[in-house]
Amino acid sequence: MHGKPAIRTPGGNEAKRSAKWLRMRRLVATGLIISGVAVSVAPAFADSSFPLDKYPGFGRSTDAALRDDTIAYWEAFQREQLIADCLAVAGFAYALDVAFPPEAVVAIAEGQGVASSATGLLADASPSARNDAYVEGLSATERDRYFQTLFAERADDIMMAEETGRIPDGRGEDFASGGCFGEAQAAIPGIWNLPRQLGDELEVMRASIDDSAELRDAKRQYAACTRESASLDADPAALEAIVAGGGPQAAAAGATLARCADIWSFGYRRAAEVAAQNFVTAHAGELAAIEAQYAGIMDTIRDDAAFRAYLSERIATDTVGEELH
Amino acid sequence: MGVATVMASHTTIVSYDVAYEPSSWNGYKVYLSSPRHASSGSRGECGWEENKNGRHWNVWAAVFNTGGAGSLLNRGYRVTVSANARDDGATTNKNSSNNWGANVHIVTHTNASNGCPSSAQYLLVMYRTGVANSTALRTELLGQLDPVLPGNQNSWNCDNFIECNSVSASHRAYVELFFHDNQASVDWYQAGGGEGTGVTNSWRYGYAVDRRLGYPR
Repeated sequence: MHGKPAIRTPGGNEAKRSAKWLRMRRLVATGLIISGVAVSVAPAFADSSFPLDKYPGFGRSTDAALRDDTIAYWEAFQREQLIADCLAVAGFAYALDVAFPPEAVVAIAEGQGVASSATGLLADASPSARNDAYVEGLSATERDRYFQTLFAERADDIMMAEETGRIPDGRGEDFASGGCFGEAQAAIPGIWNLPRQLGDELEVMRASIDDSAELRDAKRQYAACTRESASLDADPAALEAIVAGGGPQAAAAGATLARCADIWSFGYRRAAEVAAQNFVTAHAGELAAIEAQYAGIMDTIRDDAAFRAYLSERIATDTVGEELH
Repeated sequence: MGVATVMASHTTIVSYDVAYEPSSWNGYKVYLSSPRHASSGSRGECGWEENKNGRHWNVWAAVFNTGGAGSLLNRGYRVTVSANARDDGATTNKNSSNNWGANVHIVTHTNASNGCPSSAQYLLVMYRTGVANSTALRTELLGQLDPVLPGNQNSWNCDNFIECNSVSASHRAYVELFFHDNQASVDWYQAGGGEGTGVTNSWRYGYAVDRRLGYPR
């Protein structure tokens, strides 16, 4: 196993600091810090519930989206545990390495009431760096056995793929999808599995928004706004085409985009809610099944001590930040 | 927790993803993947190294309102911009995107021919064969980027790339913005000093994605 050296980052004020940075991030999101041309992004709706909110994997409102992110992160953690256990059977060490945007992990931790702490479960180096160093320390023979166990692939193929970003000639989606990794994926397909399986149907739902009476009504109101603002009878795509063309009307079109944005947002949201409700009706069986599958999951997550410890470590050691120009 | 301080993305190599939350989410997550070549800086670049080129564009596309309806964030997308560490970590980007549940995955690199100086000059947008949303996104990206990027345009599949083959987002594309070993293209990107004026065209990522998805809000 890897050693467990002490972690330098102190845990004391980290929760406060992460909260500060979340607030900073929200300031950026509202456009208060962003340079460049100002455009209103004021929400047309309060953060109300959405028809698909109660189905895991389909959440849209803030609470439902956080629930889905939490489940997704926990499931990825479960898969990493399976991989570690599987590699351990073959005599290999593995540092659990849940790849996930760190700001989202901070939000998940806050939602779970988990404060950051450096308890030594993770080393100073990131899990991926530790795993890379571990593999580099293996003999060529053991390295090949490691990757055969982890992915059912030759070490040369994996290392070539990592270096070039390409899979070997003649291979497809099956590449690096076997071994411990493949077993973990098969055991826990995850919360995004159903939305992905229903991808074509979700595309139909999306297309139905554009054809809906609600969006046609929104387009009429939007066009009235654009006529008043710039003597243009347009929708957002038409306005942006004018901006992108850079002609004499570009500036007026840009200003109109900002001025009429809330009308579009309001109308689109109305149309999307109707389409989502129709989707719920059309896929009642699948959605009821996913709701039942995940019943009680948040309690399970809340009671998972190993997960909470890992989460606490990650928010203590990961970097959260952004470029402010 | 480590906290990054104020940085300019054209000078930045980071080992972590950065996520941005809109004030009102439109229901779609966009993962902007940056290059993670270990050899970045030794890939024939005339100007900034490839890993910085790609992430610089992605950061601006994510959050800076420089045209049209603005950045992806302005349009209501939840956006993650990947790390650009010199660690050959494309698989980590793929895993982060898949675990997070991205709906849109766009890879942004810069291209190379023979090393600086070269005469190669075109925009390349690649797609996943047989994935309708990928080919449709490709078409939008080409249509909106080609008028402003140097050179002509090209497109072919990216089926043999990990981030094209194995990402879960059906709306996926692999962009090579320009040739970083072509001095004229580099000059376009870095014009004006500082962060360069070329990157101000990155709002067209949001424009292309919005056109593809119907301006969700």
